[in-house]
Amino acid sequence: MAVIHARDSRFSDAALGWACGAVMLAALYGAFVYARREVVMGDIQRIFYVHLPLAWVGFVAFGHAAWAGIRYLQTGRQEWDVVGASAAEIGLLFATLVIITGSLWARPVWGTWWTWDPQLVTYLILWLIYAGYLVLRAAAGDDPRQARFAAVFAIVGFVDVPLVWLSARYLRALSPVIFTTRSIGLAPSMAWALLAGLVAWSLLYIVLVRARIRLGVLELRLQALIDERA
Amino acid sequence: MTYLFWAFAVVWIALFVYVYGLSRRSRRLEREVDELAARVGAGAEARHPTGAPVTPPPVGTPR
Repeated sequence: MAVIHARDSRFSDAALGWACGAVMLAALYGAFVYARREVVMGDIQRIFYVHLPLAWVGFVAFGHAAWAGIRYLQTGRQEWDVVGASAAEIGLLFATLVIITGSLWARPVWGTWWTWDPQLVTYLILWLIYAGYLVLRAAAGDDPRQARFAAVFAIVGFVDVPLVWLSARYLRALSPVIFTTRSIGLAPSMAWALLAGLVAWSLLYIVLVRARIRLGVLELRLQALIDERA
Repeated sequence: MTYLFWAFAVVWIALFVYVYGLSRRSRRLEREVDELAARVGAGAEARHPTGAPVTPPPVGTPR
Protein backbone atom coordinates (compact mmCIF):
# COMPACT_ATOMS: atom_id res chain seq x y z
CA MET A 1 0.00 0.00 0.00
CA ALA A 2 1.45 3.32 -1.06
CA VAL A 3 -0.17 5.30 1.70
CA ILE A 4 2.11 6.53 4.44
CA HIS A 5 0.62 7.00 7.87
CA ALA A 6 1.50 10.04 9.92
CA ARG A 7 4.42 9.81 12.31
CA ASP A 8 5.77 6.47 11.19
CA SER A 9 8.63 5.72 8.79
CA ARG A 10 10.55 8.79 10.02
CA PHE A 11 13.82 6.90 9.75
CA SER A 12 13.29 5.86 6.14
CA ASP A 13 12.29 9.45 5.32
CA ALA A 14 15.52 10.78 6.82
CA ALA A 15 17.61 8.16 5.00
CA LEU A 16 15.84 8.95 1.74
CA GLY A 17 16.38 12.66 2.30
CA TRP A 18 20.11 12.21 2.84
CA ALA A 19 20.44 9.92 -0.18
CA CYS A 20 18.55 12.44 -2.28
CA GLY A 21 20.79 15.29 -1.07
CA ALA A 22 23.95 13.33 -1.90
CA VAL A 23 22.78 12.36 -5.38
CA MET A 24 21.55 15.92 -6.00
CA LEU A 25 25.02 17.28 -5.20
CA ALA A 26 26.51 14.75 -7.63
CA ALA A 27 23.96 15.81 -10.26
CA LEU A 28 24.87 19.49 -9.82
CA TYR A 29 28.56 18.63 -10.07
CA GLY A 30 27.79 16.64 -13.21
CA ALA A 31 25.79 19.47 -14.75
CA PHE A 32 28.25 22.29 -14.05
CA VAL A 33 31.67 20.61 -13.94
CA TYR A 34 31.75 17.04 -15.23
CA ALA A 35 29.64 17.36 -18.39
CA ARG A 36 31.63 18.83 -21.23
CA ARG A 37 30.62 22.17 -22.74
CA GLU A 38 28.28 21.83 -25.71
CA VAL A 39 29.93 23.17 -28.86
CA VAL A 40 27.03 25.02 -30.52
CA MET A 41 24.99 26.40 -27.60
CA GLY A 42 27.76 26.73 -25.03
CA ASP A 43 27.02 26.83 -21.28
CA ILE A 44 23.33 27.62 -21.75
CA GLN A 45 22.86 23.97 -22.77
CA ARG A 46 23.50 23.03 -19.11
CA ILE A 47 19.86 23.95 -18.43
CA PHE A 48 19.17 20.62 -20.11
CA TYR A 49 20.41 18.76 -16.99
CA VAL A 50 17.58 20.17 -14.92
CA HIS A 51 14.98 20.66 -17.68
CA LEU A 52 14.80 17.05 -18.90
CA PRO A 53 14.81 15.39 -15.43
CA LEU A 54 12.02 17.74 -14.33
CA ALA A 55 10.01 16.79 -17.42
CA TRP A 56 10.62 13.10 -16.75
CA VAL A 57 9.57 13.34 -13.12
CA GLY A 58 6.53 15.39 -14.12
CA PHE A 59 5.42 12.55 -16.41
CA VAL A 60 6.04 10.02 -13.64
CA ALA A 61 3.98 12.13 -11.23
CA PHE A 62 1.05 12.38 -13.65
CA GLY A 63 1.29 8.62 -14.22
CA HIS A 64 1.24 8.15 -10.46
CA ALA A 65 -1.87 10.36 -10.19
CA ALA A 66 -3.59 8.36 -12.94
CA TRP A 67 -2.67 5.07 -11.25
CA ALA A 68 -4.01 6.35 -7.93
CA GLY A 69 -7.20 7.38 -9.76
CA ILE A 70 -7.62 3.83 -11.09
CA ARG A 71 -7.05 2.36 -7.64
CA TYR A 72 -9.53 4.83 -6.10
CA LEU A 73 -12.21 3.85 -8.61
CA GLN A 74 -11.51 0.16 -7.88
CA THR A 75 -11.42 0.34 -4.10
CA GLY A 76 -13.16 3.59 -3.10
CA ARG A 77 -10.49 4.14 -0.42
CA GLN A 78 -9.89 7.80 0.43
CA GLU A 79 -6.16 7.18 0.79
CA TRP A 80 -5.87 6.67 -2.96
CA ASP A 81 -7.57 10.01 -3.52
CA VAL A 82 -4.91 11.58 -1.29
CA VAL A 83 -2.14 9.85 -3.28
CA GLY A 84 -3.62 11.11 -6.57
CA ALA A 85 -3.97 14.69 -5.36
CA SER A 86 -0.42 14.66 -3.97
CA ALA A 87 1.12 13.29 -7.15
CA ALA A 88 -0.81 15.72 -9.36
CA GLU A 89 0.19 18.71 -7.22
CA ILE A 90 3.89 17.87 -7.39
CA GLY A 91 3.61 16.95 -11.07
CA LEU A 92 2.11 20.36 -11.78
CA LEU A 93 4.90 22.08 -9.85
CA PHE A 94 7.50 20.22 -11.91
CA ALA A 95 5.63 20.84 -15.17
CA THR A 96 5.55 24.57 -14.38
CA LEU A 97 9.30 24.51 -13.83
CA VAL A 98 9.76 22.63 -17.11
CA ILE A 99 7.95 25.41 -18.96
CA ILE A 100 9.95 28.15 -17.19
CA THR A 101 13.34 26.49 -17.70
CA GLY A 102 12.39 25.69 -21.29
CA SER A 103 11.56 29.35 -21.94
CA LEU A 104 14.82 30.47 -20.35
CA TRP A 105 16.66 28.05 -22.60
CA ALA A 106 14.65 28.91 -25.75
CA ARG A 107 15.17 32.67 -25.48
CA PRO A 108 18.94 32.70 -26.20
CA VAL A 109 18.88 29.63 -28.47
CA TRP A 110 15.70 30.06 -30.57
CA GLY A 111 15.42 33.83 -30.05
CA THR A 112 11.95 33.55 -28.48
CA TRP A 113 10.43 32.74 -25.08
CA TRP A 114 7.73 30.58 -26.60
CA THR A 115 6.79 29.07 -29.95
CA TRP A 116 3.70 27.14 -31.00
CA ASP A 117 5.67 23.99 -31.65
CA PRO A 118 3.62 20.72 -31.43
CA GLN A 119 5.58 19.44 -28.44
CA LEU A 120 5.27 22.70 -26.55
CA VAL A 121 1.55 22.92 -27.31
CA THR A 122 0.83 19.35 -26.17
CA TYR A 123 2.88 20.03 -23.03
CA LEU A 124 0.93 23.22 -22.34
CA ILE A 125 -2.30 21.24 -22.75
CA LEU A 126 -0.97 18.71 -20.22
CA TRP A 127 -0.20 21.56 -17.81
CA LEU A 128 -3.70 23.00 -18.27
CA ILE A 129 -5.34 19.59 -17.71
CA TYR A 130 -3.65 19.09 -14.35
CA ALA A 131 -4.06 22.73 -13.34
CA GLY A 132 -7.78 22.18 -14.08
CA TYR A 133 -7.67 19.00 -12.02
CA LEU A 134 -6.40 20.88 -8.95
CA VAL A 135 -8.86 23.76 -9.47
CA LEU A 136 -11.68 21.22 -9.76
CA ARG A 137 -10.66 19.61 -6.49
CA ALA A 138 -10.43 22.94 -4.70
CA ALA A 139 -13.79 24.13 -6.08
CA ALA A 140 -15.63 20.90 -5.24
CA GLY A 141 -15.05 21.37 -1.50
CA ASP A 142 -16.57 18.52 0.52
CA ASP A 143 -18.69 17.23 -2.32
CA PRO A 144 -18.50 13.42 -2.04
CA ARG A 145 -18.36 13.13 -5.84
CA GLN A 146 -15.18 15.24 -5.88
CA ALA A 147 -12.80 12.31 -5.52
CA ARG A 148 -14.55 10.29 -8.23
CA PHE A 149 -14.47 13.23 -10.68
CA ALA A 150 -10.85 13.89 -9.84
CA ALA A 151 -9.88 10.25 -10.38
CA VAL A 152 -11.50 10.17 -13.82
CA PHE A 153 -9.90 13.55 -14.68
CA ALA A 154 -6.44 12.30 -13.71
CA ILE A 155 -6.81 9.13 -15.79
CA VAL A 156 -8.10 10.95 -18.87
CA GLY A 157 -5.47 13.68 -18.50
CA PHE A 158 -2.67 11.16 -18.60
CA VAL A 159 -3.59 10.33 -22.21
CA ASP A 160 -1.80 13.56 -23.18
CA VAL A 161 1.57 12.29 -21.88
CA PRO A 162 2.27 9.92 -24.79
CA LEU A 163 1.13 12.67 -27.17
CA VAL A 164 3.84 14.99 -25.82
CA TRP A 165 6.39 12.22 -26.18
CA LEU A 166 5.32 11.28 -29.71
CA SER A 167 5.00 14.88 -30.95
CA ALA A 168 8.76 15.35 -30.49
CA ARG A 169 9.40 12.41 -32.79
CA TYR A 170 6.74 12.57 -35.46
CA LEU A 171 5.52 16.16 -35.71
CA ARG A 172 8.68 18.10 -36.58
CA ALA A 173 9.15 19.51 -33.11
CA LEU A 174 12.03 21.90 -32.43
CA SER A 175 13.25 20.05 -29.34
CA PRO A 176 15.98 17.55 -30.24
CA VAL A 177 15.30 13.82 -29.85
CA ILE A 178 17.93 12.53 -27.43
CA PHE A 179 16.87 8.96 -26.80
CA THR A 180 16.34 6.57 -29.68
CA THR A 181 16.08 2.80 -29.70
CA ARG A 182 19.66 2.60 -30.99
CA SER A 183 21.59 5.17 -28.95
CA ILE A 184 21.68 8.21 -26.68
CA GLY A 185 22.60 11.28 -28.69
CA LEU A 186 24.98 12.61 -26.03
CA ALA A 187 28.70 12.52 -25.25
CA PRO A 188 29.47 10.08 -22.37
CA SER A 189 30.11 12.87 -19.81
CA MET A 190 26.78 14.49 -20.75
CA ALA A 191 24.95 11.17 -20.54
CA TRP A 192 26.34 10.53 -17.03
CA ALA A 193 25.40 14.02 -15.88
CA LEU A 194 21.91 13.49 -17.23
CA LEU A 195 21.63 10.10 -15.54
CA ALA A 196 22.66 11.61 -12.20
CA GLY A 197 20.03 14.31 -12.69
CA LEU A 198 17.33 11.75 -13.49
CA VAL A 199 18.13 9.75 -10.35
CA ALA A 200 18.37 12.85 -8.14
CA TRP A 201 15.08 14.37 -9.29
CA SER A 202 13.31 11.00 -9.12
CA LEU A 203 14.46 10.63 -5.49
CA LEU A 204 13.34 14.16 -4.75
CA TYR A 205 9.93 13.32 -6.17
CA ILE A 206 9.68 10.34 -3.80
CA VAL A 207 10.66 12.52 -0.83
CA LEU A 208 8.16 15.23 -1.76
CA VAL A 209 5.27 12.92 -2.56
CA ARG A 210 5.72 11.05 0.73
CA ALA A 211 5.65 14.34 2.64
CA ARG A 212 2.60 15.52 0.69
CA ILE A 213 0.75 12.23 1.22
CA ARG A 214 1.47 12.45 4.95
CA LEU A 215 -0.08 15.90 4.96
CA GLY A 216 -3.15 14.56 3.14
CA VAL A 217 -3.49 11.72 5.64
CA LEU A 218 -3.32 14.25 8.48
CA GLU A 219 -6.13 16.23 6.80
CA LEU A 220 -8.22 13.05 6.64
CA ARG A 221 -7.51 12.35 10.31
CA LEU A 222 -8.46 15.88 11.31
CA GLN A 223 -11.71 15.62 9.36
CA ALA A 224 -12.47 12.27 11.02
CA LEU A 225 -11.89 13.79 14.47
CA ILE A 226 -14.11 16.78 13.65
CA ASP A 227 -16.86 14.40 12.46
CA GLU A 228 -16.44 12.29 15.60
CA ARG A 229 -16.74 15.36 17.80
CA ALA A 230 -19.80 16.61 15.94
CA MET B 1 25.08 32.86 -18.24
CA THR B 2 22.21 35.02 -16.97
CA TYR B 3 19.63 32.60 -18.38
CA LEU B 4 21.48 29.63 -16.93
CA PHE B 5 21.62 31.27 -13.51
CA TRP B 6 17.92 32.13 -13.54
CA ALA B 7 16.88 28.68 -14.76
CA PHE B 8 18.54 27.00 -11.77
CA ALA B 9 17.60 29.80 -9.36
CA VAL B 10 13.90 29.63 -10.26
CA VAL B 11 13.85 25.85 -9.81
CA TRP B 12 15.45 25.97 -6.37
CA ILE B 13 13.47 28.97 -5.14
CA ALA B 14 10.20 27.29 -6.20
CA LEU B 15 11.20 24.07 -4.47
CA PHE B 16 12.16 25.81 -1.25
CA VAL B 17 8.90 27.76 -1.21
CA TYR B 18 6.91 24.56 -1.81
CA VAL B 19 8.77 22.58 0.87
CA TYR B 20 8.45 25.46 3.36
CA GLY B 21 4.71 25.64 2.69
CA LEU B 22 4.35 21.87 3.13
CA SER B 23 6.27 21.96 6.38
CA ARG B 24 4.19 24.82 7.79
CA ARG B 25 0.90 23.17 6.84
CA SER B 26 2.11 19.88 8.28
CA ARG B 27 3.10 21.43 11.63
CA ARG B 28 -0.22 23.28 11.90
CA LEU B 29 -2.24 20.15 11.08
CA GLU B 30 -0.30 18.00 13.54
CA ARG B 31 -1.00 20.54 16.27
CA GLU B 32 -4.71 20.65 15.40
CA VAL B 33 -4.97 16.85 15.29
CA ASP B 34 -3.24 16.54 18.68
CA GLU B 35 -5.50 19.16 20.27
CA LEU B 36 -8.65 17.65 18.84
CA ALA B 37 -7.62 14.09 19.70
CA ALA B 38 -6.99 15.20 23.29
CA ARG B 39 -10.40 16.91 23.46
CA VAL B 40 -12.20 13.91 21.96
CA GLY B 41 -10.35 11.59 24.35
CA ALA B 42 -11.14 13.78 27.36
CA GLY B 43 -14.77 14.05 26.29
CA ALA B 44 -15.08 10.27 25.95
CA GLU B 45 -13.54 9.69 29.40
CA ALA B 46 -15.74 12.23 31.12
CA ARG B 47 -18.97 10.86 29.72
CA HIS B 48 -20.92 7.72 30.37
CA PRO B 49 -22.21 5.96 27.24
CA THR B 50 -25.63 7.40 28.08
CA GLY B 51 -24.16 10.90 28.24
CA ALA B 52 -24.16 11.12 32.06
CA PRO B 53 -20.95 12.28 33.73
CA VAL B 54 -18.88 9.49 35.23
CA THR B 55 -17.90 9.74 38.90
CA PRO B 56 -14.34 8.55 39.38
CA PRO B 57 -14.15 5.42 41.61
CA PRO B 58 -12.88 5.95 45.13
CA VAL B 59 -9.25 5.21 45.77
CA GLY B 60 -8.69 1.59 46.71
CA THR B 61 -11.74 0.23 44.85
CA PRO B 62 -10.88 -3.23 43.49
CA ARG B 63 -10.89 -3.39 39.71
